[in-house]
Amino acid sequence: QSPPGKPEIHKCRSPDKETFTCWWNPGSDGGLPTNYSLTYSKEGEKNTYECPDYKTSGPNSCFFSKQYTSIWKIYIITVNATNEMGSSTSDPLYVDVTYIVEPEPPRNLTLEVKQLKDKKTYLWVKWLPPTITDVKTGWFTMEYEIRLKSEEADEWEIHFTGHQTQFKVFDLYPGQKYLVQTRCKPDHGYWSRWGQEKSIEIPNDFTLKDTTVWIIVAVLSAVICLIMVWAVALKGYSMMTCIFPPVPGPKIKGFDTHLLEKGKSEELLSALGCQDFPPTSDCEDLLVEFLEVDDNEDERLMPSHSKEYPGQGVKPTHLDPDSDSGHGSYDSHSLLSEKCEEPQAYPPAFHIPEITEKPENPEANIPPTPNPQNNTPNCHTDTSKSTTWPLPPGQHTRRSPYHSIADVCKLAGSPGDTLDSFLDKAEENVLKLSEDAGEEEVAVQEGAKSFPSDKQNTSWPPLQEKGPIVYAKPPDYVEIHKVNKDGVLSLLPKQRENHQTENPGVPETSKEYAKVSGVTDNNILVLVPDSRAQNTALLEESAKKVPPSLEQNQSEKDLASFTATSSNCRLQLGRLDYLDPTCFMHSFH
Amino acid sequence: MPMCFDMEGYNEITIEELFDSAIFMAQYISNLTTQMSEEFDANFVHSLGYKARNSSNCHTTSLATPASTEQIQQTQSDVLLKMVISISRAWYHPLKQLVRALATLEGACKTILLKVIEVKETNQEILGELKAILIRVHPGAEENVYAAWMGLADVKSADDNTRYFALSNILHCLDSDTNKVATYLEALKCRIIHHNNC
Repeated sequence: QSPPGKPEIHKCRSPDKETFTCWWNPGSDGGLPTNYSLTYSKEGEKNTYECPDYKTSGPNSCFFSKQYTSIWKIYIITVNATNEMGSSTSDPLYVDVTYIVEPEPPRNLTLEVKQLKDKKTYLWVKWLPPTITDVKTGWFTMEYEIRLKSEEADEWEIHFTGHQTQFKVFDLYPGQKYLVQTRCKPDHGYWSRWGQEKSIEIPNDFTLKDTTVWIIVAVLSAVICLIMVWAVALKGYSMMTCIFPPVPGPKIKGFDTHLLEKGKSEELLSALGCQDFPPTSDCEDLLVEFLEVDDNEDERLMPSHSKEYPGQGVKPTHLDPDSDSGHGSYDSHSLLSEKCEEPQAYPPAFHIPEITEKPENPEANIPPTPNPQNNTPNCHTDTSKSTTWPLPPGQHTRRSPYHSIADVCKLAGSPGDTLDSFLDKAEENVLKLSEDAGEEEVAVQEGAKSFPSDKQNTSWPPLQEKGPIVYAKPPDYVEIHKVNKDGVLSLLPKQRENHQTENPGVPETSKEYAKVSGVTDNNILVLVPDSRAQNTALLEESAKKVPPSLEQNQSEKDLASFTATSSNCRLQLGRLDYLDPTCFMHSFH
Repeated sequence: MPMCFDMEGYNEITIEELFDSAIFMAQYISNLTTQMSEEFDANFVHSLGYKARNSSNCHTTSLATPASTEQIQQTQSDVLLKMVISISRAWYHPLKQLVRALATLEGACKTILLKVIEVKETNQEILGELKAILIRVHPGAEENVYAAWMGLADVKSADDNTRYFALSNILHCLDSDTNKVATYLEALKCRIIHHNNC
């Protein structure tokens, strides 16, 4: 047995800043019953008081009601322990009620899951202050905290809320269950214990709604995208057609692909209209020739001379007097009558001198001509005759107008008929030549060769080849003399043609005319086939060169000239009628 | 020393804003004074026997301020507001002396000196706010007289025990009075602004 141990004051707390309670821990009791008593005194007061209530707060405690509580004053509190053996006193505790407030936890905690306008879920936490404290009058000012965690978590998540009594919690996991608690504290006191725990589960319905919303949005956006793509595709196509219009395929009028496949280039060219080009060139040539035909005798003579003998300048001088002498129409009748008489009187004498002259000619004429043997005798004979007889110029002038007029008349008329007549005459000449002697046969062969070459070649070559034909005339004269005896009567019209051809032909022909004065009869007979050949060639060329369309154009342009030529043709025909009876009269004589 | 109060700067502020500002500053210095009192006792008053032997009174006890919620509710607003102004004014001179005493106290931490300076300056601001509120609530009201502080001799005593006890006691009184100011302002705001429905 011993006195009691020293007790210890545990703590003093006030829930409302109007009452408070103190608790103590008893010491050892010493093995004897021990009584405990609490005594206190206030700051500034000398009296000491005992605890007003040992029962309300339980064992080993003292409760101070409002009556015994003063704030902003210090309480000095001690506890005494007493038993039979003695007593002991605790250390004093200085208490200011203002600073020992520990309120009850908040009440009426409610949890609610809500959604914002954007369908975002959150947890709404609400509570009320503890009932004991008087907050409405401002006696207390409380601060609050809440804590929450998911059911499976270990640590709490604490949020300080200040003076407000509600709080919103975001970013919660759907399908999870959450636990929530609250507590409070006055300005200068202690935190209350945590309040009653509440739980709530965040439903998955919201997530499902969200997923449905997202699905709807996705579907609509997909549809819109498809529509946009379709529209763009259509517009793109139309834009492409606008930007890059279709290129039209090649279309050539009158073009036939089959002709290309067959390889007929000529027909292709004609189909494409290329034929216009050659006709234009031909037209030019034809125009030039027509100009020659329409022009005076001098122009006709000039080109013929230049073609056959371009080097010799003397010949053109002969042509000039021919044109001047054209005025004497009466003289021509008298000269023609003389020609008819001469061949009948002296045919054998003229034959001999021709043979003697031949060997001298080849030396002088070899370089300019291709056929020296044939060409040389023709030239010598011509020159000698011209010196012996001054009459040849008069004869030339008389013959030239006949030739020109005849050609014009033929062109004006039908070309077919004229060609047939010339061909018949040519055949007759060929037959006669074949009947001649050996030397004469050689000459005939050469002439025959020249004819086919004329036909095959173009317009120019036959003109050039006329030269050798002219050179061959002397041997034909000799042959003709023999034939002339028998055929004098039949060759009368041939004589007229010969005259016409000789005048425009060559100056050498004028020399031949010199022979005609003594040999004129022979010459006249011999020259008939040469004139026919030339005429036929000219006619053929003119036919080829003048297409029907071009003929119409020329006719329109030269209407005046044709009318004049037609009148001239009629007059000349009248003249020919005069000549014929005179020739027949001379022959009868 | 009376203060010359300038009301020009308070005309455009609402009364609720004035209360909020005053309450905020009052709670601020109340917390500071609690820290100062505990800090000083821990360093200079090792034995609590001092308080038991020489429990002293504060110089503002004579103001007879209400000490319970019932007493506060029974006091009129203008009377309670004037009490608050009297308490704040009563600490004008003691705070100046307290700054000097702690500044020359050997072994005192600089933190306690800085805190007491902060309390002195903030108390002067609160006084201005309180006068503005009084004029708004009761135009023409005049201030009450304030209690004079008579503890200067003990604070300057050459005896360490006497000086330490005096300083401990004055810091405790300052803590209690600043808490009263904060509590009374809260009650006045609930009554005037929210009609006791805070």
